[in-house]
Amino acid sequence: MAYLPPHDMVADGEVVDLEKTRADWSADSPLVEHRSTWNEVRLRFRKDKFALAGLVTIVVLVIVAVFAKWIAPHNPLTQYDSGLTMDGMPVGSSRHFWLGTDTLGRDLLSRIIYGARVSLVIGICANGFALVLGVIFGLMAGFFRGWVETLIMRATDVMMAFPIYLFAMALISVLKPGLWILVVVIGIVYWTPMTRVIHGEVLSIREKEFVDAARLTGCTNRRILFRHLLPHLVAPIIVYTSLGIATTVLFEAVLSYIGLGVQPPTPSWGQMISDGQPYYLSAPHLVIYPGLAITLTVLAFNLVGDGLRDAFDPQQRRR
Amino acid sequence: MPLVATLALVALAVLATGCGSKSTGNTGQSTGTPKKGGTITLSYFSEPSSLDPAIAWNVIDWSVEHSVFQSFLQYNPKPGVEGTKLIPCLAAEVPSTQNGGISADGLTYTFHLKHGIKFQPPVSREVTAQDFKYTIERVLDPKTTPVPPGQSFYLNITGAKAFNSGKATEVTGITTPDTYTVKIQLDSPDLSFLNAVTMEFCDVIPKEWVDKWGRNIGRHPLGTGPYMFVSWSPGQEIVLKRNPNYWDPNHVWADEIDYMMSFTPSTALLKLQRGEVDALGDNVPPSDVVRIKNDPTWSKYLFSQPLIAISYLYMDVLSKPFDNVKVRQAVSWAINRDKLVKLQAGQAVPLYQIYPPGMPGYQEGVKYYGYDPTKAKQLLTEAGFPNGFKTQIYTDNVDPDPKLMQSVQNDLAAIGIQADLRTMSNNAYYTFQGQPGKSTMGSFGWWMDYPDPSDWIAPLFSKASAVAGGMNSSFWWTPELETMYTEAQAMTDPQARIAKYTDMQKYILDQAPYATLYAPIETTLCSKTLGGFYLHPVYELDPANYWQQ
Repeated sequence: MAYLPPHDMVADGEVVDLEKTRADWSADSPLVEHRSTWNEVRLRFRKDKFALAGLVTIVVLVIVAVFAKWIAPHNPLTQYDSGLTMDGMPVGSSRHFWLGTDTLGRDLLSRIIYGARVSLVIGICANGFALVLGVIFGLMAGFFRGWVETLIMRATDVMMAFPIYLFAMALISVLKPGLWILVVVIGIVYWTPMTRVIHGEVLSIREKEFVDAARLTGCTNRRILFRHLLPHLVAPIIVYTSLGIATTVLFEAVLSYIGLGVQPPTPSWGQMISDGQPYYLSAPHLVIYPGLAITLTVLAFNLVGDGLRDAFDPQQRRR
Repeated sequence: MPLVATLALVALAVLATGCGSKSTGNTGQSTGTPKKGGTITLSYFSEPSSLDPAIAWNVIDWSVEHSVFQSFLQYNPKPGVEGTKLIPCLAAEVPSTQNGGISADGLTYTFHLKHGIKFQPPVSREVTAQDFKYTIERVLDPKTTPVPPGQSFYLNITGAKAFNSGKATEVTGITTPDTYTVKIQLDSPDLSFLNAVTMEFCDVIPKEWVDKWGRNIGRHPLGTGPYMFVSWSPGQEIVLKRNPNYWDPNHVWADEIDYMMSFTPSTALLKLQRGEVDALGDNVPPSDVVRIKNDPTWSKYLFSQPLIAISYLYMDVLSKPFDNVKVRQAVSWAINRDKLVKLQAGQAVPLYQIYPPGMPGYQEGVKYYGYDPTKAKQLLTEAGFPNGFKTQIYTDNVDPDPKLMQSVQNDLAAIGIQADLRTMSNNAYYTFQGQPGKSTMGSFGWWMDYPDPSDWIAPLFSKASAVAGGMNSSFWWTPELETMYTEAQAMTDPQARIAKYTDMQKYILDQAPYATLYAPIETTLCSKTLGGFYLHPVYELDPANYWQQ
């Protein structure tokens, strides 16, 4: 079909021959390949080595968590007699226990592998819950303005001023600690950053012409929100979700460390550090390996989140 | 008394080396010279629930009370068997049949008080016989809130039952013929009565001070002891300082005693090694025992003593399915006690009786129950639970209790009992276990108040203690045991009496309201600058008799 060359490639007064195809033009002029946003993002992300490393780590983590039953060398709950020395102390790395055992003679590597499940499930679900709350509140605040916006944004301010760990601790001590309680509590405590971001984005988008056009053609508010505004918010949502998972994983580790996370004997990295802490002089591996697991996970999500943010931002200079 | 988490320092046999002397394993106390001045710092992870002598019964409560309060008699401040002897404190002498303090029929006890004993400031007035009558009546008074847990020790006093049930306005059996004489009449003879009045419940306290503070009296202790209360920052520390009104000022050394209450056992150990803490209220944690034993600098400050104390798993008979005796017996067969000992780096002895070694009534070489999961499963099937059941185990959060309960949880899972482990702070747990029907199973401990089995049976297995706030965590009692106890208490032949107590043990273990676990071995460390350190068999740390060098 006819190819219209770009505006600045045609001189004033020149007659455009519509019979020319793109291939003909490409001989004279450099071909500027049109890229969609997604292709652009993917390319820029791939160039970022750190982000890629983070992504690979996350993929490995997810595989390990999903296939834990087949990957872990032992049952994480079995307390082995051979797992304790004569004096009742944990044993170090050996052929049987690759990373050693914990204070009750359980294999540390298997517990770390199963602990990935807890951290990822809580991290992802809690963040998802926080995401849903944050997007809803942010959309409502940015779009409807007026008293709705005031109410929601001031509530957000109040929540952000609250020490979130104390609030989470208070909530959990009233309810009983458990996997899904944790997800709900972390979600409730953590929706504020997303709300602020979404609110800001909506404020900048709602003045654009296409919103007016949609309204003029008779779209309901709901249609405008979900069909027209939401697609533009996908970029910040993705970025802040990945950064948020890093925070919620750490949150879960802290709550488990102080005893308010999943209850024993289910393994959780934070709880393993807490159990191993009295032994840090005599058996430091109890603290080091779970600590490394937490560090790598949080780092991976942070790198991916940063990489995505850089990739989505058209003005960002390449490093 | 309850041993919730804190393994206090009780020494049965000998072995106390004063820190500061260069030798280890010596008997007796330090040979250094006591010095006045300085501060002694003790570390506990838990804080007292109350410092009201009528109410408090936890190890840390009594530890603080012992420096602030006093009563008629006290235990000899020496280690080992010497420390279980009673000596006069506020009374001029220990009543006995020889000096007429105990009547020939064993029913009347007469205490002559020393003159000129003053309460601590700001009360600062002389102690009279009336103060003692008030103190003991307060323990029995139905209006005292919360309900004093030690009432059963004093219900044998004439008129006590009537007063306690509200039918009388005073305990007629306690009389004060003059300002310095207290006469106590009993309904039947009781060989352990002098020990019972030496418990901290009978620490003399002034009426006007209790009236002033009302329900807050637990936060404002005031007695006649060598140290007076200064302040209590909740969760942080309790500070005591030298009592200016004390009647024996030449034997009070340090100026101040600090109880630090927020350090875990491992943190406290590190602080002691840095010189910030002088004695550990919670033992050296099992994670560090081996390390300290092998450390040439510190191994000479390490003490290890078997304790007359027990640790057990109680089962609340008001919560199903622990009302079924076969279920309780199954649990008693399911637990691997040797593993619990191993997890504590060997600082315990597996326990297969109610009485620990060293308590009269203990049967040498006899084992009730053991580790037999097959038998346990069979009993569960007979009880009607062939596939087990779901329940909870409760414990406090002080190392190593959560770890030990995970091992118990594992043992129970092996016979089909799925138990969720729930931990909570020491104080919260102390209240929780005393509520009927709330908890199902939990770990608890009992510490010797005095070396007689009546200290075991009455608080742990009697009807009187099977109430909210009592120490009978299983809320189990039977009329047969009540009868056996009353008979034993009335016996005047010590041998026959102890034999009766051994019979009680057989009866109780057959019903298995508790699954006994282990008898702890105290392992503690003292700092390099602490002089006069020793472990007392009944009191814990005795800082009033230590000094800073």
